[in-house]
Amino acid sequence: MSPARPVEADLQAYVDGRLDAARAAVLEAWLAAHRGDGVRVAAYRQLGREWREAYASVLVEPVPRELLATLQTKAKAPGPRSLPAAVAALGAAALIAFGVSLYLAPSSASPIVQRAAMAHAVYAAEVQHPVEARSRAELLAWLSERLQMKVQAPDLRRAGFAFLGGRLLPGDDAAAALLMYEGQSGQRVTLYWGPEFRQARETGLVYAPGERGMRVYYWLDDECGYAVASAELSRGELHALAQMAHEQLEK
Amino acid sequence: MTVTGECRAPGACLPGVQAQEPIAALIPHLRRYARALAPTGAAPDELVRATLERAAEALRLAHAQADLRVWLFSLLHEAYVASAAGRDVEGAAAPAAAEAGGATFERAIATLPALQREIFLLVTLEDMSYEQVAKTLDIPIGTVMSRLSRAREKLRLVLMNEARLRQVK
Repeated sequence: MSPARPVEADLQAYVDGRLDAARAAVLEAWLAAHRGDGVRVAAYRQLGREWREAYASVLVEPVPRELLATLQTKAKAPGPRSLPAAVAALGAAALIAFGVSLYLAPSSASPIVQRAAMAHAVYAAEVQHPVEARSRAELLAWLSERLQMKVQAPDLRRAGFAFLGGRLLPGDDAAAALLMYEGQSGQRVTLYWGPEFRQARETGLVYAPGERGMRVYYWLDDECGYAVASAELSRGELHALAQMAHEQLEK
Repeated sequence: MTVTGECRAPGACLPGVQAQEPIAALIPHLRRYARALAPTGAAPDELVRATLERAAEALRLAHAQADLRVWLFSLLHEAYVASAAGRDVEGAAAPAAAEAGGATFERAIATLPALQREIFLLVTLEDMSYEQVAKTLDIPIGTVMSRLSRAREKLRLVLMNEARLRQVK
């Protein structure tokens, strides 16, 4: 029996990864048999990737002071300016918030720290699409091509962290990559690859604490800069993961 | 995600001061959206500034909505519609964008009617659910789905055509 023609709304939802598993399976059977629709779905997904890539850099641009000032001078509400309750309540917004404040804070650590913390804050908070929908092999091959170096996903399962996937990010001078892992209770850890931060003199693991629980361990070698970031792990837990990644990538 | 204090209900107010910092954190997202949305017409940051002014007014009145992101993007939507770029009829911005020699993405998005542009970008860049898009733009969810479909098909064809032209050249 041939599968039923899907409604257009299902096809769109499938493109966005918002179709439940059962309906997605039906739709996939249809797509396998109808090449035209399959091509369309692939093209729509490609559109999404291209647009996200084209505008990704805006997210890490410093916000013009005038814009921040608009908000601050207009909203002269009374009371203290510390906001833990609202920040905790706002979930994703809050995660991005400390990414931004970390980004804006001056720091003596390598600039890779801000980049990695920002990328972690923006993408680890996403429930639906933290990573690109691709197979592991395809993803790593694609990232390797874009970064012009061999991108690998270290195996962190020994520490209870499964590989989720990754995505391409813009850097100042070159493309960067973000790989994401998830622990058993949903804690997320990211490994940032920034070839533009490479330096001839190799560093060991360097610790850089951020604000509100964000922690980063990074190291630089002559090929790339690497940073392991998390907002949910203790320093010790993160150190163990960073060491595991470091051993596998530097052998 | 729970909202503390008296703001438990969806759409309940957030005390103004408490919302200020999370709003600041969303500014990069507003700027990205405005930039992708309005390659011609109003300057993107001008839209963001208008949005923040309105947000700040509302904050003073303690009217900020609990779904901060939907609320802020709906304010940006209003600012966009009020600007010349948001009012253009289908494809009217395209010639201007082409003349300006904008990047491929800018030319392509300019061929869409304003509403389709917004729906496509909220889904694609902001990863909003269809329900959030419907709330942001104050339209039925069915409209979101049909316009999203049209927008994607149009963009696909426009970009395919561009690629073909480049090959001919």
